[in-house]
Amino acid sequence: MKLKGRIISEGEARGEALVSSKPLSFYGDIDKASGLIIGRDSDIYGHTVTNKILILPYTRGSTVSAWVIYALKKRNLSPKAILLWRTADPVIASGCLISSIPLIDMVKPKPQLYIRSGDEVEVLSTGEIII
Amino acid sequence: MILTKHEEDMLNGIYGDGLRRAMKIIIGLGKIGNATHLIDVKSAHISGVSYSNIGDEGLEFLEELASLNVKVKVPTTLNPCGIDLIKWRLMGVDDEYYNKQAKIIKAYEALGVKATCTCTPYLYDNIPMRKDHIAWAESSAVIYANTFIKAYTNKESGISALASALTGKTAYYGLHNDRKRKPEIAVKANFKVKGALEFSVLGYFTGRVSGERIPLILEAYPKTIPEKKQFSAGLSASGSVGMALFRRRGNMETVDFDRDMFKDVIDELSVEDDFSILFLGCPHLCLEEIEEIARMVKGRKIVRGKEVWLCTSKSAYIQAFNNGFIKVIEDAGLKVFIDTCLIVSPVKIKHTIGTNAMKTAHYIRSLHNINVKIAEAMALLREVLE
Repeated sequence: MKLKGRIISEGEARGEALVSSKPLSFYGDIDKASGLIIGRDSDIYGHTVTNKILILPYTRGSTVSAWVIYALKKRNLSPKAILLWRTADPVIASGCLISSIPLIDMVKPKPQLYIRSGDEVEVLSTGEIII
Repeated sequence: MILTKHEEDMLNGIYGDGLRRAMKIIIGLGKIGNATHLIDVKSAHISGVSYSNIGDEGLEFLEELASLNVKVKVPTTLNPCGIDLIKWRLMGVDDEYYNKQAKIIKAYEALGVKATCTCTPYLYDNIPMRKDHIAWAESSAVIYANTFIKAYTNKESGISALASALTGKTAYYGLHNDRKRKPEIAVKANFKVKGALEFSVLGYFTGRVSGERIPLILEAYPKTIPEKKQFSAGLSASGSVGMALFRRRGNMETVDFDRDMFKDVIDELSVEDDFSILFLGCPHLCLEEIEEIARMVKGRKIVRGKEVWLCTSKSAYIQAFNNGFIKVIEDAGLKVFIDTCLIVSPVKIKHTIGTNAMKTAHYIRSLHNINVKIAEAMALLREVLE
């Protein structure tokens, strides 16, 4: 099965998927010292984003979120790639671009229907996602 | 996206890694905005300066970038940092914080940025011309520049504004395009809106009802600089748009703004009768406001147990100093800080705050969980004078 989206921050990655049906704010919902999801409203609360292919509808949050992404990357705690099925906002885009983390948005068909947390996923430099 | 040869070269790293990375940011954001091409910018204004906001990672990023030997291509200024870089001890800030903040400023200076830290760059330090395309962060300054100067800028993040400063480029989308600068909802004032506080509330009210739509304001127009900057800051705190329009008439969904609504907005956030610290300078005080304060406090003293913090830009401070206003103000016991603001400082606020700005009221409550009293600046000042 192959999905495809729009490349905002380029790159390739292969790893375990972590899928949430809810939007996430990197500032406030993720602990930058551990990579754990600490946002109580999240359906992936307590999971780690480290080395995951993080799959979300979209992200929320202020500019500080971009620095959280960069902090995670510098401490080797970041996700390997981020996939969104809606449109990326400038904050997540800035964060992934300064951190060289692949970011693909508008992924179709909706990945939530085809990928479950724990599945092995490959992100290609063409913006394609292989399940 | 169509790129010129020069832009392609920057993207491909011909001019080094710093410019390659900056170009990637501009193009990534341009894709989100469905931009067709890039345009030149005349200036940039960067947020994300306070150590409290960007932390060690931000500092590390800036130092790494500065080591790549890149320089900004257009005049670039900074938003307020965490401290007054000269009088920081008076703020009760420790040496470690000062050292980190000073390193952040040094890294920006190494990139060629003018190290004046203010949220009102449009007044003295980085004044755009009508129709200039610019890349600014700090949403209140973005609204001021788009609305009252009629320059063109999107609401940039600190990172994207820095990328534009280094490349001299931004992607052509959003508020750079005349066709996207159209109002979709109107707010009609049903009374004569006058003074900084009333315009602050009008801006804040407008942001709440307009959300992501550009608002058109009917039957009100701010004439003075304090009124314009308070309107911009109020709108930036509650809304997500980068501009407003003021016209005589408009045919669209219209929301009324009357005296009762004005009072309701204030009453909702202003829950204290008294306050310990009076904070004026959000956005940074302009010369005229400092002069007004100096006239008011001349020969008088602040009552024991109260504090007054004034925040302003270096440029306004120097002019006020040369006119003797700063001496008058400090003799009365008020504190004047430059390059900073209470909201982005590490100062632990424990007591209630008096303010004339809806933006301060909004953020002091949400970020510091402290109650505020909102009133006109001169009325608040009268309360703390002996």
